Amino acid sequence: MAEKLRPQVVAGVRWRPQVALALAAVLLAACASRPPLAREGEYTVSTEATVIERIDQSQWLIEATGVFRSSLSPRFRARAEVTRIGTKEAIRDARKVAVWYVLFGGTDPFLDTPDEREAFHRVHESFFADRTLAIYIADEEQQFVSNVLIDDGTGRRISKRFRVNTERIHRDLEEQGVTVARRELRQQLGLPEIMVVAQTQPGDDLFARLREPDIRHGATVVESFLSSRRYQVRVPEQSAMVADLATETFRVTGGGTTDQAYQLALSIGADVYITLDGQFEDAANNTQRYAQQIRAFEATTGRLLGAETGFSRGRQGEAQVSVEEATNQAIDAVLSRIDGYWEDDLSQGVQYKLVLSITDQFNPREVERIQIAFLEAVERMTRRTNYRENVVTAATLDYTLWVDPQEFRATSSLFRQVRDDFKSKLGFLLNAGAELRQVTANRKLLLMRFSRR
Amino acid sequence: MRRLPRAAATTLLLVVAAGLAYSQNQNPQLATQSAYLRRSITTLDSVWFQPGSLDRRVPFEVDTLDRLITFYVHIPRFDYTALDPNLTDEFRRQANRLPEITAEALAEVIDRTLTAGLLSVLNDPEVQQVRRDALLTEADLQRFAESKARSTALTAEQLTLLFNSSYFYLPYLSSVALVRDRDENVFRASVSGGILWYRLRVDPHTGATTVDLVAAGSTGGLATGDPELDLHRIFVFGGEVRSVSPAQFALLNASQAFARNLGTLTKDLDDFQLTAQVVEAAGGSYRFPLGTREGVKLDDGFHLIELVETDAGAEQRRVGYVRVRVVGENHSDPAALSEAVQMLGGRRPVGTTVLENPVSEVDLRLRPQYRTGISIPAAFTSLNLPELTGSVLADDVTSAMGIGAVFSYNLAPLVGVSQLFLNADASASFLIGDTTADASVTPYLLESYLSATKKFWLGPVNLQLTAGAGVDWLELHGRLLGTQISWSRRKLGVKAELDAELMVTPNLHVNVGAGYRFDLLSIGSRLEVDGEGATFADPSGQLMSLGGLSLRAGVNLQLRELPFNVFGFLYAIPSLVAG
Repeated sequence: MAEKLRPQVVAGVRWRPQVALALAAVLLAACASRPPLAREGEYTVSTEATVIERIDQSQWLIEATGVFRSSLSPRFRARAEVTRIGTKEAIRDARKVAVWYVLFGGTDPFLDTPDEREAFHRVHESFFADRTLAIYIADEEQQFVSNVLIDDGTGRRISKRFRVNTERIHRDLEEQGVTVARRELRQQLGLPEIMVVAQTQPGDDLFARLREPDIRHGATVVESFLSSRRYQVRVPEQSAMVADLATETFRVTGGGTTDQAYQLALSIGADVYITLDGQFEDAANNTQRYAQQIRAFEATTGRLLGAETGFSRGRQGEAQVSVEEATNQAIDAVLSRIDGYWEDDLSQGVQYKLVLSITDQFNPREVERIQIAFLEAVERMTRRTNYRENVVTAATLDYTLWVDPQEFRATSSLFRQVRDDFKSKLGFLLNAGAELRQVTANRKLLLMRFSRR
Repeated sequence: MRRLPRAAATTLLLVVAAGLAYSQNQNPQLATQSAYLRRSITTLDSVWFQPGSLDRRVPFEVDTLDRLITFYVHIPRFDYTALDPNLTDEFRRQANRLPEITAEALAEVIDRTLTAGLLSVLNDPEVQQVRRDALLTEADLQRFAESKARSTALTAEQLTLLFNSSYFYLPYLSSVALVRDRDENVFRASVSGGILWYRLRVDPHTGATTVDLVAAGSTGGLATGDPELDLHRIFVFGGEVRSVSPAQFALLNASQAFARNLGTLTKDLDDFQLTAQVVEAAGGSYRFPLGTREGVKLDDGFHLIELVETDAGAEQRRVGYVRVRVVGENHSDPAALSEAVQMLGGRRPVGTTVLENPVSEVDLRLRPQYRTGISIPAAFTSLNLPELTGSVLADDVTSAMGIGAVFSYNLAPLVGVSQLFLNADASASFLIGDTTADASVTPYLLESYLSATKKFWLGPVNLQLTAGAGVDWLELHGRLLGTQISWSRRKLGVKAELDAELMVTPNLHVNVGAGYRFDLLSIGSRLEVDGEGATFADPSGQLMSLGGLSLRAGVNLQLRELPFNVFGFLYAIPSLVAG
């Protein structure tokens, strides 16, 4: 009796009822504070799926596995149930798994943040209802990839291929408020402008590369993909004009980069630029396959946002088909990363690149005053938080900043703000003949020059 | 009588054991295959003779055997690839120089002499386009349609499938014999040999080739040619009727049986068995994507297969059996499905695999029978000759007991009527009655009928209606009062039968039935006394009838091989040869 009454000691803690109650309360509170997130297998029995092919802008070919396990006993009743409804139920599970994979699976799931998953959990039933699945699944192969009785005949596992309409899933997620933040941001600020160009090496002519048939076709496929998703796409067609503009911009900014794509993107005001670099390589049975490398960069900094390589199937001839196939394999994943970047970026505000070029007509003390005035203008515009100093020299001040779009709707607003700040802070210079001039302004870039008349 | 229940119990036990054995795993190799992929096959331009297999004096028709082999082996499920004759000649030269002919040594010769030619054919863009459709998956077909046939080239994966589904077969003869049996005055022919199947494998990355032996089977054919029979002076095949000598008749029929058996051996190979997934299932009716393009015919049988996951991996389990009742015309419509009705097992869902049950077109029924209602008055076995007077039977006989064998050919593919059979019946029954003390004779009845049977199935059970016409013999051979007699009386008859049959396994059915036959007229008698022909007179005022009721129970075996060419005459029908 005395043995029973002795409090238990676990790892040095005296295990009293009060302690247990307190722990339980803490656990309950932890559970209650947040609804459970989607765990593997929460909405489906199986979670086995793989993307066989990204067919086009809106469809993925997914091989999904579905499982049915009978809960009946004894065994002969379970087997009878598997014979009666096992295949039907396993197919139903496989359909769900195909959609589940788009939402949660792979390296670039549609729902990639805890908030989105939590929001999805509240509406998941409508996504996995039979009628909805019939909409999401554009087509289902008649034949099974595999069809096996498991657990001594009391279960069935099947694998099938489904064409999933990913575009429709995307739309429904937005309409049901699962990806509400992204939708609202897009409504406010639109989708990023994306420039598509060829990847170049130093010394290469970017426009010549863009005229190569395979690159040209790949760029067309990407453009078509992006336009179908309502992105604004820019392709630098007017080569001479754009090249001059880029050269001029960087002559002014004193930028030392040789990345023509970066220069171009910045000069035409794209938010993001995508580069393509592909080549044919030998594949099995004397065929050739195309490898398309797609990389996405932030236009203002040249920062890499995502890279993916897509491969076509090996075939003899039909180069254009292979280019398209390889491009489709890669672009979706890259775009998903661009989306993620855009969403994060927009949550901080609208990004601009401000470059101020200071001529050598000012003495060091004056330059210092100019630098301080410019920094203060940047801090005012970003409320002292969202900016990054890229280059600060006596001749160039290069900043990336994120501003409230309600307050600053375009580069012209930013220019006005800088000009007003300079009037109050650098009046002595302005009165002595100095002036602030806008050299180039586009959606993303404001290039200014401060000089004496 | 005590033995009868024991025999019945033993039979029942065997039947149950056969039924249980049916559900056992048949072939783990097929566990991963659920759709038939068309194979490319090629061969020499003529059957290969093993050295010393043919006596040059035998009038053997090699060309006809080649045609027969082509007919039975080049079945629609294959794409045939023709090879340059120079290559096949080189193969023959090198094979005949081998110090020891083995299947493995021949594989090396094939690799050396034929592989390059085979690959050049498979690399031919025209050949690839022809075979392309069979390599497309559902998704490929759909994309092909959506993209308005933008891509027509084979992909690397499809080429791997194409190159690795190439087979080479080598039919060979090990002996051809023709002897004249002078006692019975007939020619007896036998053809023995077999078939070797090799598979070409091509490494997709290096292009290196290997030739593997995948199967080796031997078989034979037997036939006789009787100079006294007019039917044994004609040979029919492919709508062509030829006059032949009885010796040629025997050789050609033995060749046809041999070639037919090679065909059955081929269909029985795991690599070549037709298989598909059930895509529609409703009420014991199943539809699957096989059809005329693969050579599926009305009444073809397929096992229903489920794959079961075990600790040792997936294994195949037979769960039922279906018979084709509508053949999909997938030559013109690639999406056409064949429809089959369930004979064995419980209802299965879509996704179940069907696997061909390759059997010969001929099945054999063996059935002990009891005949009653016959009327053989003793007076009809009495002789009243100057040199011999006596009777064989002591009393009138009204019953007999014996065994019957029926070879049945399923006419369904020919006439389009399911489960309609042409039968060649033969039976022997011993009369139940006493002979006189003067006679040392075993009296028996023989029958030979040609009949047609229609089977009506309900699940695993069928009712059969049979009607036919033929000849019954009463045969009395032995000694009467020490004198050798040989007495035969033939009567023309017609018969009608009703049988019930239970399918125990797809290849074993048990049946019981009854039939009635009517004597029509006597078509001849022959009496020999001490080897000399003699005349006799039947008693007046009495009738002998070999008709009456017959009761029988037996088994029906679906044959895989049959060394005889029982229904070879049917190949006079061009549509049968055209497939």
